[in-house]
Amino acid sequence: MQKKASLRKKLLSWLIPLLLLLILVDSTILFRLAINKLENELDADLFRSTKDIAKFLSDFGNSPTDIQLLENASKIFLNDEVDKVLYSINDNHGQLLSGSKALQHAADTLPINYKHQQSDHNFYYTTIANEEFRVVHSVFNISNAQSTQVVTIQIASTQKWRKTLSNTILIGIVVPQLLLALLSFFIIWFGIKKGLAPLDALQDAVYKRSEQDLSPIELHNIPQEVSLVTNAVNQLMQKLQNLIAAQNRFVADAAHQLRTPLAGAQAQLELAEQEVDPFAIKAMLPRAHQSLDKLLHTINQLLILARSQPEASASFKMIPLDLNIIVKEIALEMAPAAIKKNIDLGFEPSLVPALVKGNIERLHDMLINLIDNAIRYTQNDGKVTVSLDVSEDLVQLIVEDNGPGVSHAEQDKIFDRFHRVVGTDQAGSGLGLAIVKEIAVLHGATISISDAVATDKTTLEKPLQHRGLKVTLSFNRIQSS
Amino acid sequence: MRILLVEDDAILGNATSIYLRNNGYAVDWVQDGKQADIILHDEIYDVVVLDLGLPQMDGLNVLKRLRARKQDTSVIILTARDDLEDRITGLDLGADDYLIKPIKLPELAARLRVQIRRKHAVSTAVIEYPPLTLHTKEHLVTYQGQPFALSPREFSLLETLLVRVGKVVSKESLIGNISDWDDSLGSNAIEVYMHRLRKKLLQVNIEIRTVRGLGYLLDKKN
Repeated sequence: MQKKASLRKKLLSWLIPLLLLLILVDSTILFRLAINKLENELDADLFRSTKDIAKFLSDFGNSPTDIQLLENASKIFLNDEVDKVLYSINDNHGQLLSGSKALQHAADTLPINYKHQQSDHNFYYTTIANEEFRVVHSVFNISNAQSTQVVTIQIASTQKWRKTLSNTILIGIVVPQLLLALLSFFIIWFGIKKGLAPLDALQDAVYKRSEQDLSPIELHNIPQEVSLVTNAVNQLMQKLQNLIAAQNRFVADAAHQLRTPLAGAQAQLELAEQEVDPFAIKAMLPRAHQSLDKLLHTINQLLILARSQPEASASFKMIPLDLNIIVKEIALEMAPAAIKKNIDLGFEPSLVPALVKGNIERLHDMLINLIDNAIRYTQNDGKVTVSLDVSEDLVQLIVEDNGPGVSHAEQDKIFDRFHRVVGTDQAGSGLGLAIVKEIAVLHGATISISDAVATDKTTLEKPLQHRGLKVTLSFNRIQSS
Repeated sequence: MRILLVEDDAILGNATSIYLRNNGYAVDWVQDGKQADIILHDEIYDVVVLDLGLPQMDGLNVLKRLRARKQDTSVIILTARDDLEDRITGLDLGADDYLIKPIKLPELAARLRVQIRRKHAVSTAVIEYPPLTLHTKEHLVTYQGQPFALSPREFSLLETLLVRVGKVVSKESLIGNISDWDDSLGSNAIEVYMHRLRKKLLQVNIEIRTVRGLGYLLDKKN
């Protein structure tokens, strides 16, 4: 369960803060926009009031300076339930015609250019009697039937209504946003949970499998990504199954190979037990001996093969070495066996050191089997040559003989375990080349087989027994350090 | 020659002890490690043939205790285990030789002879290779009792080949072995001496085979 929890946590751990951030930014922007609009509207409202006053004055005042008229006007236009409203009207000499003196004085603090621009209005904040006011300052041309005069009208309002409104807006924005956030969290949570559910299913399916059960896992209604993982797991299990089957086959084959010579020896001995003629008995014993020799040989080969398995390779030491030295050593050892059959065994070393990375014991096993194979399957008076060839990044070990060789059809199979070319030496175990192949693989070397002498297709009379066999092993060359 | 055979398998032990007795050895046979340890404590043997997988006390333990008593009896280990590490351990603990089962009885007898020779520090004064006999101390070769003429270098070559009879001897080994006489000889020089030696040996039906790229092998001509 560990792995999956952290995936979910990981997803949540960046999705949620991101979402919160988004909502925060979004709310702030919305709020700012709304407040801005609100303030503009309130300001515009203040200004409209000044315009109304100006119009009233120009329509109804006999003289623009009719104070009583002004005061009436103020009662009508400046009625407000929430905020305190002040006004001041002064002429162009700075004389207060009506309204709050304090407000008029507030205008004194304004920059010069504020005061005398006609048909223009400005907004500012001021504090009067410890209360904050928003003020509009407008200059008008009042003209009526009799005269024209420039007056400055100011209207100031406290901010209570504005604050109330802005709070309302704030709540109106934030609450839905929070609800949105909450809802999103749940959706994400639920979505992730549901989304990762197929992984849960896969995990359960794999856990429940015992090591004996390698049949494919079948899950239904799973998304593409999980199905890809499932397929990969199934492929792996199939490979394991094949491997186990191959191993079981090998064990069965090996047992058979061991039983056969054993049966032969026992049969000869049983015969000898029943025999009375000492000379006849003496004749049977070597045959029993021969079978047991073969049995021993097979057992030894099996042990060597087991030692060369990839699983055993973890304990190997691979060191840089010159193949020339090992090949010569083994060739020297095997020369007497070749000479018994009067085979001309020769060694052709490379001109430069054949440096590769390898394990000495395994290479010994490999070379013994390679050369033994060549000697075994070459006729008396034949020729076997072991040579090393070094090119830029390859070291090639070649064992070539002029024996009967192997037909093209069989050339692929001779590396199979227990494969024996039909009609040849019965004393072999069939494992020699299998061992060579395993050890080659351990060293990352490739192995190839060909006829020693290219078959001349034009000369049909060419006797096939001199086709010969050429086994080439290609190692990666290492540079001397 | 007294041999102690330590082997727990009845059939193998039976065959081995009878064979060795038939070949003139006095053989005592025990079947477990503890008995071997006790008997080695009291008796003296020339060679111990020691199996490793023993009941009561493991073969390597028997060996350890033997060496701890400063007894320098020759020990030939006989075992089914052929791992390199086991071999190294056995030899490090003081074994003189290490044989993997199953062994051919004549091979065992030959290895016993090697141990006895070493123990008695008998250098092979005479090497027989019919119809020739090589006398190492006198540096001469006889053919049917009569002297067989060889130059000193030819003698050295023949001696080296005879000591390693049955095995192919590399040119390098030969050069190493006969260069004591002189400063080091080139491989061409070896070939010249070889050629002369060959001619002489052919007269008595002995040939020296050249194995390409490997070396030389002494062989009887058919």
